[in-house]
Amino acid sequence: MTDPFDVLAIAADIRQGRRSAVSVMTETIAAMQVRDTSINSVTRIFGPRAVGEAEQIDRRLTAGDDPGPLAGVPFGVKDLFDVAGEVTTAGSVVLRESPPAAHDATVVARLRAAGAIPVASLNMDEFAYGFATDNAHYGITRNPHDTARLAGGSSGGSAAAVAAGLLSLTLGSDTNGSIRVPASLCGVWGLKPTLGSVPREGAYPFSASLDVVGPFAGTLDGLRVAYEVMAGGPMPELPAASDLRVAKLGGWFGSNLSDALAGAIDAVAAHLGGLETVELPEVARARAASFLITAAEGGTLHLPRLRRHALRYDPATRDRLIAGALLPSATLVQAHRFRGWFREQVHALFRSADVLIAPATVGEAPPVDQPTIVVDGQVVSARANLGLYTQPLSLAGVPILSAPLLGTGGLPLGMQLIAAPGREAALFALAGALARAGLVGRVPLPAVKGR
Amino acid sequence: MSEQDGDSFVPEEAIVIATARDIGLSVDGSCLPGVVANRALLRRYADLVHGFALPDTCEPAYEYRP
Repeated sequence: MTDPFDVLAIAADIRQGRRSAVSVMTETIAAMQVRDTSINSVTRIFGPRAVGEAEQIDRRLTAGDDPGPLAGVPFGVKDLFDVAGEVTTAGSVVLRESPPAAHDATVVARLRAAGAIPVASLNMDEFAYGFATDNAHYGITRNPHDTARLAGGSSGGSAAAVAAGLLSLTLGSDTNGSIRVPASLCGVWGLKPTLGSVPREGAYPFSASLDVVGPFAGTLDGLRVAYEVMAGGPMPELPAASDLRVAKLGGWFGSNLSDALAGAIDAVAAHLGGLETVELPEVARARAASFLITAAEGGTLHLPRLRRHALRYDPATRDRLIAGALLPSATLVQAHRFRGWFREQVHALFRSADVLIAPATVGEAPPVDQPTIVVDGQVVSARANLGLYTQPLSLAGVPILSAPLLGTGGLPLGMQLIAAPGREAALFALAGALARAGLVGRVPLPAVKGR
Repeated sequence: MSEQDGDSFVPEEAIVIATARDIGLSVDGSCLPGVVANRALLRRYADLVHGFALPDTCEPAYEYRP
C-alpha cells in the first residue's frame, strides 16, 4: 500500500502503473468523507471534477505522455486560493456569493501543470486572521493527534489534513506564522518561502506586504518538490549540511517555551556539535510592528465591505479589522520604518551563520475548550498569541522551514529553521541531515505509534 | 475606557465612532466593545514602535529588499 503521507511515492506508483490516478483519487475522497468528520479540516470536496482530472492523467499515461513529477497526486488548498470554477471564500460567508474563480491561482496552475490535482478546499481562520482555525462559519479544525486540541492556524485545515493522512500535500499562506504554527502543532512539514519568491496571484490577500504562500507535506522530499514547482524551478544544489554554520536564536526565542520543546532543541544543538546562541535586538518591537502592519493593511483591505455588511463577519475578525482600519498613518509608517531597521539586524546575523534555529510555538497545541497559552506568566489568548516566535521573523521576509521534532514524548512540537533570503536550499539541506539523524520528521498519529 | 486630555475625558467609544466616520465607516453598537478592546491592544503595540528612536534616514520598508 502506498504511504498516504508520501507525495513522491504516490506519484511514482501512478507514473509506473502500479496504481491508477483514479483509484488514488477515489480513495482520497472516500477517506476525507469518512475520516474528516472528527477533525473538520475540509470545507469542500471537488469530487466529480477531481475524478475527471484523474481520468485524464490515466489517459495521458496510457498514451505514453508524461503528466509531470506529481502525476495524479491529490492536493488541498487553504480556502483562499483560486481554483478555476470554484468560489474562493477565504473562510468567510462574506465572499460566499462571489462569482467562481475564472482562473487557478498561479501556484495551483503550476502544481496542476506538474500533474497534481486539486481535490478539496481546507478550513482556515476567517480571512486568515488568527492562529487557531476557529471559524465562526465553518467550525473549528481539530488536531488529529488529539481532537480535544487546536490544530493551530490560520492554515489549520491544511496542516491537519496532512497530519491525518488525508492528503500528502496542501497549500497554505503565512503572514505572521500561519504555516509555521499549525505545521508545528500538527507535526508536519511546512515552508514559508522567501517573501516575494513564490507568486501570490490568485491567493486572497490579507496583509500585502507580509503575505507569503507555501506548502505543507507529509515528507521533506514532498515539501521540496512542491516548493520547486510552486517557485517555478528547481533550487540550486543543496549544500553539504556539514558545511553549514548553524546558530541558535536565544533571548526572546529562549523564553516561555516548554521544557519538552527546549529539550528537543537542545538535542538538535548537541547533535550539531553544540551551537552558538545569538540574539536579535528589539524582538518585542518587531512583533509589535508586524501586528500593526497586519492590522492596518488587513483593515484597509476590508474597509469597503465593512462599510456595507460588517455584521456578516465573524465578530472576532470584524472587530480586529475595524480597529486596524482606524490606526493612525503615523503608526503604520513608523512600523514600516522599524521594519527596515529590524530587517538589517536579521540580515546581519547571516554574516556569521547560514541557518538559525528557534522554536515555532511555546509548546504543544492548546485545548479547544481552553484556548490559551502562558506568556511571561500571563494567561493570554492562543488565537492572538500563538505566533509569539513566528511574528517577529515575518517582518524580515526570510525563508523559514517548520520542522516537526521527534522524540518529544507528547503532542507534536516544531522548530523553525531560518535562512537568509533566497537560501531555501540551506534549510532543506539541514532539515535532511536532521531527519536522517532521527531528530525531525512527521510525527506519527497515536494509533500508529505502537505498531 | 477613555482618553484623558487635561481635565476632559472622551469616552473611547466616542473616539471610535468619530474616527470611523472619518473613513466613511459607521460602527454598529454591538461592535464597539470588541473594537475598543482591540484598539487598546494595538495602542500598546504602537507605543512599543513609537518608543524606538530611528534615524531620519531610516526609510519605511514597504517593498522587500533582500
